[in-house]
Amino acid sequence: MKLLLIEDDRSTASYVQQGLAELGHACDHAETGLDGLTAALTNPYDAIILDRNLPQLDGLSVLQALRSQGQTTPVLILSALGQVDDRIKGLEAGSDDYLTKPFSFGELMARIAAIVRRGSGTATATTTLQVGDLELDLLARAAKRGARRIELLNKEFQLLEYFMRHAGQVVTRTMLLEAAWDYSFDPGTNVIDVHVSRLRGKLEHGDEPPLLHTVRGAGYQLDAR
Amino acid sequence: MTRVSPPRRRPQAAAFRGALWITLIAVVTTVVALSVQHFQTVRVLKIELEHLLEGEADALVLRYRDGDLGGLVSYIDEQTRTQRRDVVYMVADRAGRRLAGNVLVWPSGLAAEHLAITTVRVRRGGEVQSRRIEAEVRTLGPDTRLLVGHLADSRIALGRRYWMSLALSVLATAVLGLSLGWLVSRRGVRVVRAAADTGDRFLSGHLDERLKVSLRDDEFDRLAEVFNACLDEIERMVRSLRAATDGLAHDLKTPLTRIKARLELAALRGHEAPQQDILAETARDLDALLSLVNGLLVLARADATTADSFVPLDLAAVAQEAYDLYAPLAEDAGQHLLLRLSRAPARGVSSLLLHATANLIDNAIKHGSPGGQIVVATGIDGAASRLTIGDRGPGIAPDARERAVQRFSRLDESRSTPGSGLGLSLVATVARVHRGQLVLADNQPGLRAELRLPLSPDRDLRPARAPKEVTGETGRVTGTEG
Repeated sequence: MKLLLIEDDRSTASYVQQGLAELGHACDHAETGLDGLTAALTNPYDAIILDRNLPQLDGLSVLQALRSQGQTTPVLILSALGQVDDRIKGLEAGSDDYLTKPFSFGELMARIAAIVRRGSGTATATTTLQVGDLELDLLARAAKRGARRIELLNKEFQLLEYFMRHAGQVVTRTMLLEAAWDYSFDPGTNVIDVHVSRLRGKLEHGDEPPLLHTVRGAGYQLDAR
Repeated sequence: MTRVSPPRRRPQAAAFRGALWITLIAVVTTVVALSVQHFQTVRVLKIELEHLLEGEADALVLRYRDGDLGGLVSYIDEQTRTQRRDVVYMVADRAGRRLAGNVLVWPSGLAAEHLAITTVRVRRGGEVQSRRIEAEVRTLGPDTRLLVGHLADSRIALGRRYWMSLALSVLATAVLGLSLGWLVSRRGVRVVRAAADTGDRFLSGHLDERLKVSLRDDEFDRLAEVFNACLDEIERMVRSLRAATDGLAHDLKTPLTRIKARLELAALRGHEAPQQDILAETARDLDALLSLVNGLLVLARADATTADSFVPLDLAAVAQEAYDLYAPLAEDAGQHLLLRLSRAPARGVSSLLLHATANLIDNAIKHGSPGGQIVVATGIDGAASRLTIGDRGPGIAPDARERAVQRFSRLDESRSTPGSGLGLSLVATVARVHRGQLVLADNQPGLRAELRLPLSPDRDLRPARAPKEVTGETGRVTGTEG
């Protein structure tokens, strides 16, 4: 992937760049909003990581300028402003995701992967999702694995839908929290873990091959390997 | 006493202004009352006089018709000689020459047959005077006219007396109004000044200063109550800030010290030695620090919540959502989470209430007894909607309940148990910003935490004065934390 990082804090920027290089991704860096906007308009990127508080031109203005030029490159906002209002403002301005500082690199990577795939995916409305022999009917709100019907509680259904829409990707606990619950409060990661392990218990019976994998230090991944 | 507010140039100005207004109102009232009375009197007198003059004139006309001019003249002469009344007469021919009576010259322009005021020359008691009279005119024949008049002295005197009494009344009212008004205004101003002095003392550090609330229960008392409530709130914030700073210092310093020590250790070990253990432990400490900062931010945000962000909601729905989130966790911890929900309407911010409920359930799971029940109940209780969470754990001793909701307080003195010490404090804050209260009580055994919110938006369940001590069997602890 080729990414653009617009961030005025050099140590954060170099930490992100090193991490991305480690994983084999190229990453350009712009220190001001204006430089970032110019770079984003002149080069093709797979995704843009955008800080909100930037010199010359703030992050939201950069984003609005990009979107008004018809640029649809996925944008992830990285900001210390983490209140619900701030997130809503960011998403309204046209960002695809919003990550609050301080963040872990695993979280950042998982979210970038998610928005890049979302951007390239087809936008047609689907009524059924399929991963391996697992099938989720969104209209009938029914799940089955092979021939076996799976009874799901409301939250489990929401979690599974999110996992299946992001099949093959690493999904962090925070992403799950945002997807299935109100992201205005964090009940602690172990609460999410318990819910995921319940879901896993329902998905994987007996000697069925595992579907829902734990990714150490990052989160979970639904994959029919 | 240190005065925070500077001394005023005109310290009595408000009282004086009050007195002036009272006086002005009294003067205007007096003037209006006297004038109405005067003009009513004048009107009545005028009607009486009209009747008198008309009667006299008509009688004379009759006398003239019955007899002749001679009889009339002699009658008039008779009347003017006796002078027993203030009535004047004149009979004149068309040219205005006097035929009889004591009016010497026919007043020019006087012809109409109705009451008119005019000045005439009159002979009375041998003197010739110029007097104002009210006159009635009659035509006796083609060449003869009759004038009957009444001296207007009494009317003029009445008018003078009116002006005199008006001046005296205004003077009396002004003097009385200014002095009484001064006294009355000073009473109101005294309340204001007491508030200013109390505020001064409060600002100079006497946080327990309050205004006296009298038994009269009037507007001044309402003002005093509101003023005191503001001071309560400020005192609470200042005190909790002081308490929190100590706790915060401890909770920040401990992991930071550990991190620093580990980094020094890593430097001592040199480049070759494996550092995985140090990295992992440091990451764990940093996570704890971050979650502490997040907890503080959540608390600060909750504290800044105002009623304009409230929406109607049902505590039963909040409890249901918290149950859905925590039931698996409770089960894994070997506890039974039970729901007993009935309608509990309230107004509030549902995410905050959910967070508070989650904290209470989380506490119950952490501190409840293994295999025990945790009951989550909602319902209406008097003027309050309540959400109760009861566990079967060791509970909190009555004298420790107030401390349990203080920021950074952990009942475990060694501070070795996990947790930021902000959980219950957030619940208390959420209760307070919703004008409700958190009541910690004995569940026999265990802890029963009850969140009580007002049923109607104009009710306030917070204690009027933040209690300094936990009262009675149940610790009412709301409002002591922030």
